[in-house]
Amino acid sequence: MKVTMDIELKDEPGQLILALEPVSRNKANLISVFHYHKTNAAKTGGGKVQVQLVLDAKNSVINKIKEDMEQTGIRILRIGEEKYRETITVIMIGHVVNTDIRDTVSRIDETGIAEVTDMSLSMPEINEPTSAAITINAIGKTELKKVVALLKKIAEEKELLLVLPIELE
Amino acid sequence: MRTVKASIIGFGSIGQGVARVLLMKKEYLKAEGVEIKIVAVTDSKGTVIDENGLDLEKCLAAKAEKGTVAEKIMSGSEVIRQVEHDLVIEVSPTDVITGGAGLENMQTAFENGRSVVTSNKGPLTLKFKKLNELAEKNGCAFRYEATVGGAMPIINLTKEVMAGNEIHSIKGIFNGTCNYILTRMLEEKSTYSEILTEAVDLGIAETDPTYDVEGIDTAGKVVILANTVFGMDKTINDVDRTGITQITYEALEMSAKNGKTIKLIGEVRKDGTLTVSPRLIPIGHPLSVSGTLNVASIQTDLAGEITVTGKGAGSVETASAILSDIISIYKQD
Repeated sequence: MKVTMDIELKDEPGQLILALEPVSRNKANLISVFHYHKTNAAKTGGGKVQVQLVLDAKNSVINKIKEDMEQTGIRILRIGEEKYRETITVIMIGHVVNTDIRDTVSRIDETGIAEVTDMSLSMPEINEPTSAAITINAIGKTELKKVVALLKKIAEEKELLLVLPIELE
Repeated sequence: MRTVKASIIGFGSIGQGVARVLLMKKEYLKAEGVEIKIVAVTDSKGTVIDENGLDLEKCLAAKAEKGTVAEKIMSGSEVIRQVEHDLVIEVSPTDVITGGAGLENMQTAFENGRSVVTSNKGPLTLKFKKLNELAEKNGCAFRYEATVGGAMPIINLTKEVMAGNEIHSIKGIFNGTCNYILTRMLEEKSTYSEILTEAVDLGIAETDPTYDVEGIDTAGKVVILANTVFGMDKTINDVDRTGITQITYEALEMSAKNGKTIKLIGEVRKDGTLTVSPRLIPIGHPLSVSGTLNVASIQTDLAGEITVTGKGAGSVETASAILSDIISIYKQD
């Protein structure tokens, strides 16, 4: 079956070969490699590039490729059929953990139009505010707007500061 | 040669900057066919008047030595009413809550047929429409480029240079203090309060920084842009506003790992939405300027996106915008 895989690489020489090595080793058929040259700056910012691979392989082989890539530090942004087309990373600041981080994630995932795919937390001290970077994939632009509206509602309820990307209307 | 009699109302950092710039550009102004004769200077303690023209070097020296130029007790509005002159350079301290003395000074100026050039945001964020109507009714010019972005040309750029373009939105960094704090927090791996202390020590932030860090100053500028560029009738209460006090070093660090930075962005859209909030900006994006710089990005139908950047504060920098307004009024004649 054909699978589209969006990955994020460090913008350094040799990174693409590093990403393609698991594809070759697991004997998947590589159909295309697409570098998002023009949109990279907007999507990933400095120091990283986004690459889309289209592969033809069995499910088990795809899973193995994914595991191998992740072990080398490559970030998988999206995999599978064309389910999620939009990705954003937002920052939340405040008592993110104390206000039930699981609830925040669940409410996004339960929408069925988006899911949290990555999250990192930083808690300097027990009573200090926590900072969280949350990456969310959404089906499309309209759905992304709905998720942003939900995030605003959650932030207001839980008295968190939500920092959104400039490219969002 | 056109001789313009003017007063400088307010002789703090910007008022003194205006005096310096007028001294520096005296010959340039002559070449443009304009002579600016300052007949009165007012500070918080009083006024000095000479209807034949004051020696600005002496005014600056008196301010440096004695802390005031005052030779008689006379307020700004009294000067505007009683001393015969053409132009009021209104650079008194701003007050966005009540409009302060600046509001009365501007109203008085127009009622007495005097034109106004100002850097004072307060009156414009509260009574923009009324002041413009009053200026028009009395046949006076009213220019305020210095109220938004200091030396960065934004008002005259959108109103004159970009005429014919439909503007969809304007967004940017309009407060150098917030930009400095956010830039330095990441550079120094420091907390908000640590860098705020540094900014106060360096004179970049006020001892009471509320006005800057809570986004009130940025909101005032967004209101002026909304009313000037989009012809709206907004006040500061119409702005959805969040400041930078909750931003942590950790949030800036996480953003940097994702190739982004956090900046306090003011935005006005033609649908009437006015916002001030911290936003994630990709590093390398035109809005990701550092230090105390200001930047504005204008989205238009014909020209696409136009970005301007410049020093948003500073005595001489702000005075440069005031000078350009003065020249644009009197060169037109």
